[in-house]
Amino acid sequence: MIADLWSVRPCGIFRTAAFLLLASSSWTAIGTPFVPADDEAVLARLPARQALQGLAPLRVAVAERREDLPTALDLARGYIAIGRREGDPRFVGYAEAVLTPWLARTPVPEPALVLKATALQYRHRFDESLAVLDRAIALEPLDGQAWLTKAALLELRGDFAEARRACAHLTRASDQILALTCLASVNSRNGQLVASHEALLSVSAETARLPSAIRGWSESVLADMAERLGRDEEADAELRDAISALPDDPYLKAARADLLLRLGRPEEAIALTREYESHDSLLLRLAIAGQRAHSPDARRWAAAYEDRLEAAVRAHDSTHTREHALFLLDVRHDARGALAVAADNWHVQRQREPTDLRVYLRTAQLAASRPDLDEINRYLSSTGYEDRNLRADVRYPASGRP
Amino acid sequence: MRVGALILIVLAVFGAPSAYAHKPSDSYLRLEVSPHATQLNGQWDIALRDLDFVLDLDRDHDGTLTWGEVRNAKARITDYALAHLAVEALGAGDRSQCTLNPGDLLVDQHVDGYYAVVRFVAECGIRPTRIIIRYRLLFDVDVTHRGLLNFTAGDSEQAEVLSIDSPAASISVGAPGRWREFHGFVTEGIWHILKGYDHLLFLLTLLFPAVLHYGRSGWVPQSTLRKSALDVLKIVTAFTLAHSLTLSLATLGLVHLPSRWVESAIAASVMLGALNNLRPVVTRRRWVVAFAFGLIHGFGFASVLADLGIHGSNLVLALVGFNGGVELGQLAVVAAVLPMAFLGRHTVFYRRAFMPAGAAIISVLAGYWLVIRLTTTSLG
Repeated sequence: MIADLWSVRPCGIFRTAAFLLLASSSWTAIGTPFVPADDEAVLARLPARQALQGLAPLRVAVAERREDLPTALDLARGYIAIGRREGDPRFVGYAEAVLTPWLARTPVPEPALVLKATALQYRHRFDESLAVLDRAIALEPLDGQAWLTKAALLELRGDFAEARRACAHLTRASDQILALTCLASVNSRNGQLVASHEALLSVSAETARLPSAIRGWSESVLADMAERLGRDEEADAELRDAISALPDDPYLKAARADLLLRLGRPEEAIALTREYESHDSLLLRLAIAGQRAHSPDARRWAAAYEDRLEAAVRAHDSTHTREHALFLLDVRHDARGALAVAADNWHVQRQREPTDLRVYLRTAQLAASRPDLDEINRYLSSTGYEDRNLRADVRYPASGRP
Repeated sequence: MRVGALILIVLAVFGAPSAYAHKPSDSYLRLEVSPHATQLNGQWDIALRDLDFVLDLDRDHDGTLTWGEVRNAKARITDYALAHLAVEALGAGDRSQCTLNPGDLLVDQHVDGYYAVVRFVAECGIRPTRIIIRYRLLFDVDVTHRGLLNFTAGDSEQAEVLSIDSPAASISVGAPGRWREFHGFVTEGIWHILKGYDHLLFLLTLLFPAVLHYGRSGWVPQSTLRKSALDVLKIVTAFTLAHSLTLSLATLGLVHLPSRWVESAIAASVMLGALNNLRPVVTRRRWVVAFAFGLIHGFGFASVLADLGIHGSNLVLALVGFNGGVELGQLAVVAAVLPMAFLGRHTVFYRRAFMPAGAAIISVLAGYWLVIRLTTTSLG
């Protein structure tokens, strides 16, 4: 009886029920519509307007020349780039709409498949993305882009053997540095952290010649390794370099904010993200840092993030599970609620990046959930995953192991 | 390798880990049908950013949208919107395509900025018993766009998410979704008592001794089932009244306690309940204990209900359903435990081994929860 009690925990059925109930409840987010008094009243700022304007000629060209694949691909790529910078999924939707007619053709053009897979990946439709990539690879086995996208997806899911295989294809299909970075990143999460770190460091001088996007990527991989090796200052330096290589990148800023928060430097995390309230993931970091630093804006940030989270849940958008768990844990201090979401993120969404593992472990420890801790320990020992910060923390609840 | 392609590669590598920085493109479509009417009133909130993408509203290309720019485009906005929506009415064997007549254009603010609010009237010609909505706004340019439909008929409300993969909704005007909703809350309540192990353990610590009574020589079997059942009835009723009271107070926003205190107090109640079975302090009127601690457990239930994000008119429905579910779950536990405990009460195992060992394990477990809950959540 008692042993059984350890294995019960709030499970997915809760979230499913909450979903259904939320979806059917009236929405209170809607205020009272009104007619502005002044014609000059500014209703919206369109941050991407200039970038969109730059794509206008391509848009016209695509509408006029239905047989012009390279132009359609350029337009789709342009939309994806804006979506990434603005962190706005609608641009990814625009890109996919451009690709739609091409995907209906036979034979289907391989680059359109790869772009479609990239877009699906952004939308967290990982299974579909992998299936589309496999179709692309079957058509064009030497497409480095397809292999790297596939490697990244498999790595995200913790499928390291397959990820390594995908990276290995890059050696033939693409740049050696890319292949090495890809392999080092995968191996560092699969039992070879020290060796991978050394290998990537030894070629880091060569990345200077590469475009800033590649450099930023390589530095972010180094930062992740350094952090897991317990070299926090080195990780911070790499992340700062990566951010200066890719100043618009929200992912890198979120990664550095997380590091600063862990190091107990919330003021710096606020300074880093303050200008990016419109980005959900950075707003979340602001809410956490604001609370820890006792910032006067802390409540406003938390409330604003909660509003967006509610909007996402209401719209059945499941792409926020990682952030949702972090919010419940670090802003609302609701360990049990956070564990339910973190477990869903881990098991159902299958996001298995270091951040996902950290939040899953922290919630499992706080909620003293033996089955989740067991699951994490199984994962750690079966993959050889290393993280100095993490390992030290893995322990069973005192009464959990008789 | 071309630089453009390389950049995309890296985008792909970074793409998956971060969730979107923005809410995706959603529109909010509200349709209201009043009984006996052949009309539906519609209100459609569409993000100005989305309209700008398809209608080029920012005429001076300065990166801002003013009310003047939106107002001047009123006809284009309403025409565009209503051309991408079809409403069909079914009733009394007829079907009729409703005519959508545009009304006012307003604006409203949502969590991600201002939306154009298009009001319209759907004239169907017949009294609908079922409405079919076919939605295709923006799907041709944005495959991620969704329409969040809220349909009201009388006091029943239904919600649907319309997407490129499921662009149509068929909604019954007659049969309200209330019953389904209520059913959902009841199920939720049942699950919570059965899976919320701290409530369950507390109940068990009260139930196990109900088949015994404490005398000078320790626990001895209760003589009749009637006595046991009466004891259980009192305990369960007291617990129910108490937690219903605080659940209602907290859910209606009349009382609020920090969750750390509540969770810690719940753990403490389980621990004290178990310790009392080991070294009884309270042996009579245990229903008073059940009532006192029930007040605390009610606050715990309330936090679960709050997590479901219930607002407005659904609140009472949710409260009644959820509480009903909790009671049903509780009755199921009583029905399962009491007969077994009653039959086993004469055995030495029950009194000398099961009771004390169970109580000891539960008290250690609960004590552990208490420490964890007191120390690990830093804010209430």
